[in-house]
Amino acid sequence: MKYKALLIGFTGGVVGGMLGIGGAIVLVPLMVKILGVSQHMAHATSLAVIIPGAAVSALVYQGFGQLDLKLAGMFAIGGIAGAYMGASLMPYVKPHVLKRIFAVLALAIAVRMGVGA
Amino acid sequence: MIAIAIFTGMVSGVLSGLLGIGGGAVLVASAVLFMGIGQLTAQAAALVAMLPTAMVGVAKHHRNKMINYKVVPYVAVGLVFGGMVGAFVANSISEVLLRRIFSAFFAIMGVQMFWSSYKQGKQAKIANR
Repeated sequence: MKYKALLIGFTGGVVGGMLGIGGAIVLVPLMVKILGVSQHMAHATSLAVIIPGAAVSALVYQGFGQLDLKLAGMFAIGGIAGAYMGASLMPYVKPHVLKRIFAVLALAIAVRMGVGA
Repeated sequence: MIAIAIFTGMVSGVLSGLLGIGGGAVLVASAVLFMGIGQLTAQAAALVAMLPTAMVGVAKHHRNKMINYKVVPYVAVGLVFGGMVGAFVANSISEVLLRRIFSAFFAIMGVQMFWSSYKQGKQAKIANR
């Protein structure tokens, strides 16, 4: 269990640190499938481990002169406000419809970013 | 600039709350596309910006006893080392290549979301019967 958990963390860390996304998208399914943690618990647990992981990744970016703390602060303020808004909107939207809209949007963004690069 | 940055953070916060996805990816994509920020700077800011939201979430989950503390130390140690490696790689390869990798990841996320929306849609139909 220990080695599996270490390896899962490492995999999530590489993806999360490399793409600046934290890594929950990798951690949650791996913890559910390999460690047998429940979906809900995997979500909560990934949130806890991402704090040190993201902080250390950010320090590496800082070492390369890429960290703009003011920008990060503004993103964080907006993000906290947005998370509250999202939670209160929850009862009024159908998640699967929203997901479908977002999926199309994500594909368009991916093409735009990949081709424009 | 300040207003756009806060708005960008807000949109990603709303989406992550509603869709249950990490806001980080949306945040990076919007910062690069709509604010013209470099890929690396956007990623660094997203990593820091997720810290306060994660802490609030962890406090809530801790009270609800939803955090599996048996696996936390191992996954966290792996994550810290992986995070260092990933961040070093990101800063060592060309920004164009990094952006391509990121967009490929974003596409996978879109496909995966489409897939899960179908499963959810079916469940909703069954529940409405």
